[in-house]
Amino acid sequence: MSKLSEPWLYLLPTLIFIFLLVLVPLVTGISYAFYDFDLISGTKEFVGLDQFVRILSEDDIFTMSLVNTLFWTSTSLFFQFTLGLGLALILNSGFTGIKLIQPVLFVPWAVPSFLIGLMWVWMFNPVTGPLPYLFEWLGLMDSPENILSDPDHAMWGPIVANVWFGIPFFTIMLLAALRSIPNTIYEAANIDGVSGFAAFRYITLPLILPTIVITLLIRAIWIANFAEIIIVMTNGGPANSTQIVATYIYDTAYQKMDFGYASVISIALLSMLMVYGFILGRIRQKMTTYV
Amino acid sequence: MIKAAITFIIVVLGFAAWQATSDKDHDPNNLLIVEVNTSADRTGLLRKQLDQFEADNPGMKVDVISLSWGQAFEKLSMMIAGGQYPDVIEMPDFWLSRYVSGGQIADMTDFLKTVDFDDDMEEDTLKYGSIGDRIYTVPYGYYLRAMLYNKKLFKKAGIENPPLTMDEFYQTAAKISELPGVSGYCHHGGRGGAVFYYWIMTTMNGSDQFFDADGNSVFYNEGAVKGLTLIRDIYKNGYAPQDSLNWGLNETVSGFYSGACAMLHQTPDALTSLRKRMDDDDYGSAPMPLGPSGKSFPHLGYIGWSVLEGSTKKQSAFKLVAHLLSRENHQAWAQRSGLVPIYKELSKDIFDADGVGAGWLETTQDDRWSYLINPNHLSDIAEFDSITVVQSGQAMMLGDQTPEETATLWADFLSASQKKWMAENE
Repeated sequence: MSKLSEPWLYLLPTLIFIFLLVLVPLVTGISYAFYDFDLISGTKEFVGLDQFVRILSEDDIFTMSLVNTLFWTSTSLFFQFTLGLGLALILNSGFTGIKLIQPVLFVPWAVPSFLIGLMWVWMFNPVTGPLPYLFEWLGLMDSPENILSDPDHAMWGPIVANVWFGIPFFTIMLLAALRSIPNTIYEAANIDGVSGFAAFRYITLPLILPTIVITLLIRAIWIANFAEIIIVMTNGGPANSTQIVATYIYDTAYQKMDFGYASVISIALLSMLMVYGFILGRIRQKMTTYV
Repeated sequence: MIKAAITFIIVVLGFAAWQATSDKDHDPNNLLIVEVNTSADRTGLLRKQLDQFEADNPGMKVDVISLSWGQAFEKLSMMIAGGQYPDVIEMPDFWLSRYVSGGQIADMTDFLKTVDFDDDMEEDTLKYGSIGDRIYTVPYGYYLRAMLYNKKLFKKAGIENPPLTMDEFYQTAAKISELPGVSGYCHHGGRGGAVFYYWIMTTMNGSDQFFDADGNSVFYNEGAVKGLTLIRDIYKNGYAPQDSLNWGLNETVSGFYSGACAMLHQTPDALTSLRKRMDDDDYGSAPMPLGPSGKSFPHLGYIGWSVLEGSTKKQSAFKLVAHLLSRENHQAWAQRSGLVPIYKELSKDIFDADGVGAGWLETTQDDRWSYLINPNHLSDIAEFDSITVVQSGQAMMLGDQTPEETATLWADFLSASQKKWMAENE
């Protein structure tokens, strides 16, 4: 056996595993994009690039859902991250009773997303939930109404539910990063007269930055792909105002049963997320390379 | 050595289990039925009726798979695509054309000619489950629409009776909306609400047909546009809650029992949840209001039983369907589900003429009301119902497009689909 082929032999089981479990389904899924594909009858008609032309030239709902995806992802991510970081800092300060509170704060992460959607639907409903009355009391509304039915504000409903669900993820990840910073660094800084916000700015932040970047990267991809809460809460409505690309894929595949076109939309989403992942990956690499 | 022996035993057992399941598929005495509209209590009743079938046919065995409604369509499609054919499946009307056009459903016409159903079976029962002149499913109950109304709110607004005509419907909604914090009509603007638009458009148009002889949709007609304008005005003028724009089934029902709105277009199964929350004296039901022609066409949906073309035991499966639909079994079934039964006389047992179900009873017994059936033969009707109508209906309510534009959009979709179907089935 040549020296060159030996390492490949060792890698073979893993490569076969990756090939069968990742590449085969991925390529099969992508191949649907070139077909007019009906799952029930099993008929497949080759249509070449027709469906790609359709998505680029005449699909207004796709364009709208793309804009909505950007808003949904960036807003959810911003609030999940800032609130998650705040909570991690509080938990890291080690106040009394922390052991009691900590497990409770992580509960939302363990609730199934379908249930979260239902729970918030009822919270926003003026018949069954308190939120519309709270909004009225705060002067945000003239009368208690369901924001999920208001095309201008409906997206905030799933966003609130998503933020509630996602905060614990950031808290867990950032808390682990915070706890990995040796106390000696803070002690040394304290001797040099650095404490409070300056310590956070010059010690904590740089040391947890790689974790922040990687969690933001992973979470953004999850959120962009996270259709369940929206499907349960608004079904993409009213009038497509909460339609994101992931819910549009679901609608196209399972309501219109158009698996071919659903695959085209999926490829579009996949490409954008890959570009995003690549950019963020490069940023992270720069941050963690110390020359 | 021991490890090798254990692995060998596991492989042998696995193979035997796989063999047993595939044998079961081919065992002529073993049937598999898939239900998709599941609840524990309904599955219990189904099991009881299947036990009876097993007792009547010694040696036969029937297994049940219960799928939850939310994922049923996907799961069943995957089962069939993967070559795992149940023998009998529960078939909602809007799935039928997809499965039939895919060649998946067995033609029951010849078998049903040999079955002696009771005379008072709703005359079109077998027609509803047909595509062309072939029968592919037999409904086990009807989701017929009637108008629920809140008697307390009617009284407060000084109105004695539920609306009988379309004008009265509009006026009643307007008058009730004068009460503080109350709207006249609980609009179902989200998914599942399409059939209300079909009712108001066909009733104002004066015909229970969706198409003319050439395959053009009647939604182009002036009457249909008038119907759409009427509901748009009800919403625009504040006679329906503003958030009802995206209401689904749960929101409409909770809007009704909480008194946020006073009239609700519903199927009889809603009574089960309303009975838990409202006094029987506080609400009632009435047939859907009549249009200018003096007739009204409330929508009738159904779920039925079908046999899979891929089943290797079709004759036994047909027999099982006939058994489930026999009068005795159907009576228990209809009583539990609260649906309109397929045997007319049974309606009188299920809906009391003086009770909350009176509206359904009157609809089934009076000629002024005839049923509107979705064009279920069109393979894209499910998409039209759940996406096109909902999204453009919402856009119309918001004033982004006019009722004329909306009606034309829907008519274009339906006409194209119908003409395609006509060309394929000439």
